[in-house]
Amino acid sequence: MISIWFAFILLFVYGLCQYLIALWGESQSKTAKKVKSSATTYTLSLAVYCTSWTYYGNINQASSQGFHHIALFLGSSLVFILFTPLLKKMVRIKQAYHSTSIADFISTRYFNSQYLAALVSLLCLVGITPYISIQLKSIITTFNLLISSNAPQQSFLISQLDIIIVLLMTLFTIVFGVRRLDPTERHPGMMVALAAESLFKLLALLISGFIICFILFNGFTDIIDTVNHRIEFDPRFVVFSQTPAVSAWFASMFLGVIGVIALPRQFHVGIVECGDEKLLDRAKWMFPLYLLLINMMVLPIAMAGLLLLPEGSRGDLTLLQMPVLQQQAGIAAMVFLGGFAASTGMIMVSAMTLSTMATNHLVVPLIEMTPRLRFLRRYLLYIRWVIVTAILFLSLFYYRVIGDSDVMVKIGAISFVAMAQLLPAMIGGLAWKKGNLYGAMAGLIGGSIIWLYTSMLPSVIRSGWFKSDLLSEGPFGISWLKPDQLLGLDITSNIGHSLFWSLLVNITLYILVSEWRKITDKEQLDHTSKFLSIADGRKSDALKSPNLLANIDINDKYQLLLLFLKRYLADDKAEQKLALCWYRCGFNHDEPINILQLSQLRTTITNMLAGLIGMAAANRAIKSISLMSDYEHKLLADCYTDLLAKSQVSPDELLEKVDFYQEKQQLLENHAHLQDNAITELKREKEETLQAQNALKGLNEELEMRVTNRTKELTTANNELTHAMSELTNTQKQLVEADKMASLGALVAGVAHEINTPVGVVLTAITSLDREQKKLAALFKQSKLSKQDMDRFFAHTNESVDISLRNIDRATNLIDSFKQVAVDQTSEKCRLFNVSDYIDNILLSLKPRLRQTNQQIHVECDSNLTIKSYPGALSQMLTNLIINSVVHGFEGKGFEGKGFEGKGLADKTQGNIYIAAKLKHQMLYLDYRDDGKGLCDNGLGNIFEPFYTTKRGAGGSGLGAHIIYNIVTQQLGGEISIDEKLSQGLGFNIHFPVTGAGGS
Amino acid sequence: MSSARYIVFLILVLVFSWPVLLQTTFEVWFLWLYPFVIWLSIIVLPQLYGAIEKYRSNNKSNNSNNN
Repeated sequence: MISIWFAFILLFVYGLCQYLIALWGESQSKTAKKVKSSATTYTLSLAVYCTSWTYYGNINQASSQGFHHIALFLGSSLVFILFTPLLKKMVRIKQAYHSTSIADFISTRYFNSQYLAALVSLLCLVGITPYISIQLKSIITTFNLLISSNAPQQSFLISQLDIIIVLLMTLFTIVFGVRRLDPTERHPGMMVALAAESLFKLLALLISGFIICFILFNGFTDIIDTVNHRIEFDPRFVVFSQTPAVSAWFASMFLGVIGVIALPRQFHVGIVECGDEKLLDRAKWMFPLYLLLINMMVLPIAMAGLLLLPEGSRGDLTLLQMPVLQQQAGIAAMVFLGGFAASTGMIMVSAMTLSTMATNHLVVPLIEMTPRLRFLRRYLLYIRWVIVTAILFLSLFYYRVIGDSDVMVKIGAISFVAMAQLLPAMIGGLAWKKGNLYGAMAGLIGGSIIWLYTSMLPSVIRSGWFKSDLLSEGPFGISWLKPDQLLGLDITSNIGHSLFWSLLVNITLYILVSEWRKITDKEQLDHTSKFLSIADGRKSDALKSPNLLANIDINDKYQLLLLFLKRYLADDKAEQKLALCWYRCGFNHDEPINILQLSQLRTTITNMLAGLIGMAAANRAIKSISLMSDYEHKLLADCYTDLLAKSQVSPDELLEKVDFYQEKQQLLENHAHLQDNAITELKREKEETLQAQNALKGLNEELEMRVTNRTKELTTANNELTHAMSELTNTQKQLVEADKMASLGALVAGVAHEINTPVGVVLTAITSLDREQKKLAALFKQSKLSKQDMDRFFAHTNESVDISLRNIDRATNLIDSFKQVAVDQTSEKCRLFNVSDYIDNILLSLKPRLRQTNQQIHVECDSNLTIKSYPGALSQMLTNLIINSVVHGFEGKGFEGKGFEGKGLADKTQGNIYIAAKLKHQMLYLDYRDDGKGLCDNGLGNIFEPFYTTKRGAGGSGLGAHIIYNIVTQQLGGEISIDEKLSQGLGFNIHFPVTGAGGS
Repeated sequence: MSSARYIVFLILVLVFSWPVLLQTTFEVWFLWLYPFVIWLSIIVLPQLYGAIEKYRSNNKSNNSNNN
């Protein structure tokens, strides 16, 4: 199906995911804390109950026995639905006594008996280790099936696969469960990983079930109809319409009740790992629901397996065989991983709990009894690792030896019966006050012997290892001692038979021996009362009395306890643990303590040590160091007696009152603890806020510094720009002024030229008159003056005077006109003027310039049009427009296209300039155009931009049009635009508001 | 622990087990679904009952507070 390497990669990835989940579960993140303390996680971790025996074995059982398989899970569900108070009792006791395993729990009830704890541990080892081998078998078999088609190439790996799997499981168990020595024996990370595993195996089973039912078949109806049809002629299908044997059914149901309470792994996840009994409130419905869901698809899958797979196929591999046969590698991998999850969960937790029990109740007592081995006290963690490895390899040995024999098939149920032997001591101890150590020991030993005889022995014989007629004839031919028909009782189910007899013997011995060997020791009776009080939810710890004499030197006790703890812990760890106990008791090193405080110290140390080596071993160990002298023991007893006498109440009443105050104190302590947590949280938040503020402050400072630097740079740049702008403005002003002066210069030149002619004429006339006057004077001196001469002189004089007067008058008029234009150009005053006359004056002033060219200027304006505006602005505007036309518009005319800009001087070719002015709605519309060469598109777009010129380097300043634009828009308050309708030349449409306007 | 729990336990065991006690043949559908329906009922119904009781007590306390 898939290659062996890919299968190993799959396992590696799965293991890595589990490890990461466990690591996250142990982290201190808020989400992780929430998840690991949630009831859902707790409930899902309880589903470690569903091993590969459930995942694969249920289908096998359903194939051969119909719906029998659910009996076990019904029994377990009923325990959770109805007997959660019992489970809560167990949680309370575990919390009070720090029980670390089921052996520890049971021995605590029976006066911390080390022997009982050892016996329970031994029974668990014998009963559970073979059960682990089923899980190994499941992993190995399914792994082989998954890689079947690719196997031959890697024969060595295949042959050693079981060892590889065991090593992998050992690694998983040590990493997840026994990584460190934890006095609380709680593993939040492992619990989260177990919960994830449980969820995964449930989903894998449900998904594969749905695929089988709805893809391979047409739903449940199709499968069941086919089965109904096959029942008639195929005996394999009859089981689906028949009920199982009554004894087998009730035995399975009862095993379900036992398993969920007494299996070491269930006790561990359900009781030891339970931090709060309230978690059981959700588990009591969610766990049965889980069991229901995981069983829901079993029967249809079993039917489908029988219908699809060839006859003789293994029922326990049905779930995996179907996708393998269909060549669905993905689904097969999912099914395999689901089964792997189911097995690893069981193996991990079982190996961990067995190692804890073996270490605490078998190895530690052995170390204590053997002086040579006492150095091992400090290597308890490594001892656990070795035991984990030993248990798993022992399981491998079982697997290799037993194989597919009868024992292997029934080992699950046999293990359950073994664990059932713990039930009388456990439940009886909780419910029956008279139950004692002797009864528990007798019941356990008797029940275990019957279990071995009626369960294990028949299976071993049936497997063929012993050729014996023990089963058929009984030992020594005594038929009523037949292992599977004890006292002639023939029960169909072997397991039911074994369960019945073993429990009967166990319970009978427990009751009878407890009644026969009654405990009279007051200390043991007090212990039992305290145990049961705690189970009922009442506390009865040592009393405190402020009036007791504090005369016990605490330093001596400290040294004694430190040496004691160093037996089990490293030096620094021992000091830490002792300091913690000191803190919990509220002691000060220098102050002596009273006898009740010493008692409290002993309890605290015992509880702490119980987390490491179990309660029984801890009690035994603490007794061995004589923490209390005989005198102190007597003092303690007297103290209790005095307290009872003084209070004048019965012990029960006193306990009730004490319990009330202690509960109150507990509540206050819990409240204080919550407050501490809240304060710690607040401190943390405050620190985070301060850090954030500091970071923010740093950022602000950096930002301010950057802003300051940037501001400085911008200020400098701004200053430079302002300076440049100022220089530019000045330059612009100078240029504008220069332009204005140039206009004025042109005006003066024009004036001079215009005046020159009349003045010249006057000069000629006067010169002629002067010459005539000199001639006349000479004639007079010579007395040759005649009348004719005088007449000619007078005529000449009249003509000269007349010419002179006319020309002087003309010059005067010209000067007046020019004067007004010149004044207007410099004064910028608003006044009333005639537009037509004023344009004439302007043109007159430009005449010298225009005379150099050959352009005709046509003015169209009402001669009576008078407006009140800025004649100077109008003058400058028109002057610039005309000069621009002359300089730019007609230059190179006739050389259209590229290169015409390069012509130097203005072309003298003829051209026309048109000026039209009209008044409309108090606005003067002035249309100006020439028929010159015009401007390119770029020029039109930029004509009003300052310093834009096509004559750069040839005298053009680029300010002419810009000045016109400024005059129109700013000084006159009007608008100017380019006349785009023109096909030739350049034209401007100008309009600006005028006041006091008149004319036609 | 109340003895009523043990009685309820026995009753439920009998409810689940009566087809087995009869030792006869049944429809395949029935044998598959019957236990699950009862199973689901005993999981869901107590929760439903608890939720209703909680709702009622909340209502009562709200009413008494209003009064």
